[in-house]
Amino acid sequence: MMPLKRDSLARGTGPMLRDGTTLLDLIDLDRREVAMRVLSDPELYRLELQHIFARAWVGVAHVSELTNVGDFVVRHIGEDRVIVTRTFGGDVSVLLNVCAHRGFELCAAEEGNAASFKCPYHGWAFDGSGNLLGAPLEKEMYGDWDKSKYGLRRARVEVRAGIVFATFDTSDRSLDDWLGSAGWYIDRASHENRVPLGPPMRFHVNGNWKTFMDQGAGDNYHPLTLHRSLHEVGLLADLPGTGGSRSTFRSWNHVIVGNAEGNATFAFPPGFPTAVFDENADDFLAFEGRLFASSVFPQTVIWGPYVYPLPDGTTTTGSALWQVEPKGPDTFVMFLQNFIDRDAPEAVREVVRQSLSAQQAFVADDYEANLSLQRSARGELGRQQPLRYFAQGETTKPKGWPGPGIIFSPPQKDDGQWLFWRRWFTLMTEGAR
Amino acid sequence: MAFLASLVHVNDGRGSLGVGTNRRQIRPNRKTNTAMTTLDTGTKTGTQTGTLMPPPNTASKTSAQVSTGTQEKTGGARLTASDPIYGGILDFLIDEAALLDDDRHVEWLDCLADDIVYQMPVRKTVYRRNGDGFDGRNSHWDDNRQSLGMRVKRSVDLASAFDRDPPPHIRRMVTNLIVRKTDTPGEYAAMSYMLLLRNRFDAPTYDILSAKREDLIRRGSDGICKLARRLILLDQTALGAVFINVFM
Repeated sequence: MMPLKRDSLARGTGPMLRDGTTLLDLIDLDRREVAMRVLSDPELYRLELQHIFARAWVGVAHVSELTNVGDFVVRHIGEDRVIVTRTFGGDVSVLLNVCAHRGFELCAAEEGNAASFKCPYHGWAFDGSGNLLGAPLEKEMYGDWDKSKYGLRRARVEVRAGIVFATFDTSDRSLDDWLGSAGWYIDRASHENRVPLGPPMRFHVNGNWKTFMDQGAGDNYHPLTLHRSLHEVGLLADLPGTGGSRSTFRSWNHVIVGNAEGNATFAFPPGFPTAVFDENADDFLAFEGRLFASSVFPQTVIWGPYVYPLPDGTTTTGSALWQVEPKGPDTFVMFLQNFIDRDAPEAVREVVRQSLSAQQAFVADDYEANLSLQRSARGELGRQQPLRYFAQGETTKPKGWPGPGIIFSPPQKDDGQWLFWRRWFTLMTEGAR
Repeated sequence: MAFLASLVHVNDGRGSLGVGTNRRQIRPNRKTNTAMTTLDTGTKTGTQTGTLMPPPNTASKTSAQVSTGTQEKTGGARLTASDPIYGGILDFLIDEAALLDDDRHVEWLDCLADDIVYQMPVRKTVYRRNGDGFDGRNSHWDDNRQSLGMRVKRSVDLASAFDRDPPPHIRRMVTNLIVRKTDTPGEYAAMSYMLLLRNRFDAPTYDILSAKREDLIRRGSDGICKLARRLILLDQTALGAVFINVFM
């Protein structure tokens, strides 16, 4: 059932590591296995920065973070810091935060407002579009120079549903191509009607970025065990049929939409988790108010709309932008930026803050997986050990499902996650051709 | 991760997470005419106080400001270290840290007032002119008695809280205590420093978290102290490790 043939993927052998290992030695496309070395190898990590992150479209900000001309935030594409700012022309631009002269970082703060960006080192100054405005003693230093040659490195930018996406890819690959079917779902999450709750929450995680993103690409199997504490603490007690492990498994009853671009969308029925999945239910097709999460390979997860119940019995909605900022093979920074309805009063914001705080208490489980796999991958035998994705299922599209993509209804198998690894392999080999 | 985030958000807001329950409010001081809300950075002398002020429009009463700021701000005089009340509060904070270090979390809950507000706001790196970077609009922690109870239950009772079993080795150092009176009799603003070291498995190094804590301590006529409010002001913007469910 897999939509991609091995032949179409394995067009090149990809990069060769110093010890002669190729990617095809590390990934078995027939058995659907990946050696754990891909989680810990520094050489592979540098290749990922080059072939994946430097060419990826990354969701870096929400447009409402940049309301006024000169508003800026500093974000990450791979390990590169970028300035995301509102220009005098009203556009959003994304600039490499590295002076075009001698490499000093132009912005040291992570947010603020600046009419221009002046380098603290020698004083070269740039406007919000990255154009060089001038430099101290420029006549004496450079005479009649052509400033247009010395602008900041500027990313391509597209705003999609209120999210600012950017890439340094020099090809003409569009955001639409990068998102694939995920774009359809992102468009329906109403992100553009929201504003940030506050600044992003950030913390370092001992783990490889792929462990986090791979799980997010459709691992519907792990909650049963890794998140068992949710059941033990009674959070799922009101769910029908959570007494037994098998029915608990079925209670994670959302649809996973994969695609060849390595992105996965989760779509939840209204009222999840109290509603039991019924693929024939008409209201399942009513997308309004549905929870979505779309992971966008390799660094971005876009959430929404969340539904927050309020004490007065009403609800409000929010959404979120998560980033997995790679910091070496063994570390990433988790970036959690939450959005709330534009007009949400303070009382609603408080409910949202508390809800997010409680969420973190249980998301803690997932970071244990990141930590543990990293420990496992250190040893020689550990790094040879395969991660296995051989459970294959069928695409099962609920009747009348309106969205595109490769759709898996519960119980899902490993197919969504394998699409993630295929995408990784494709980009790593494609980049080396 | 997808599962959890969605689950918690659609869980009944009045349910077991304790989200949305009424409680006393603390709110960062809102500066007018600025896009960003920051915690008030306090005095003109440059001392960073992280003063929390009640919100302008909150319906619920805030009996005192958590503040270690100037005497003018709190209206409260500083207690000397030789004051018996100072000593009682110091004992309370030391005992509280020991309960957590010794994994006696259930007893630790007894240190908390029923209306406890427990917050760790997000901090960001900003230029000096924009303050100290604390931004109470978003929090690492924003908890009440009920949600703290849930975290404790998860920390000690469950077979599957894998970040808690084997138990991490944690040591909390409480220092630099300053106690001030507040406008409410029996309530004291206590500012302390905390250095938290955590070691797990066989790691040769520690995860480190340091913070200033601004507490509101309610002291009964019997001398028994309860923690009514804790504001944890971190010295880090992107935390150096996952410190979820590690009480400060």
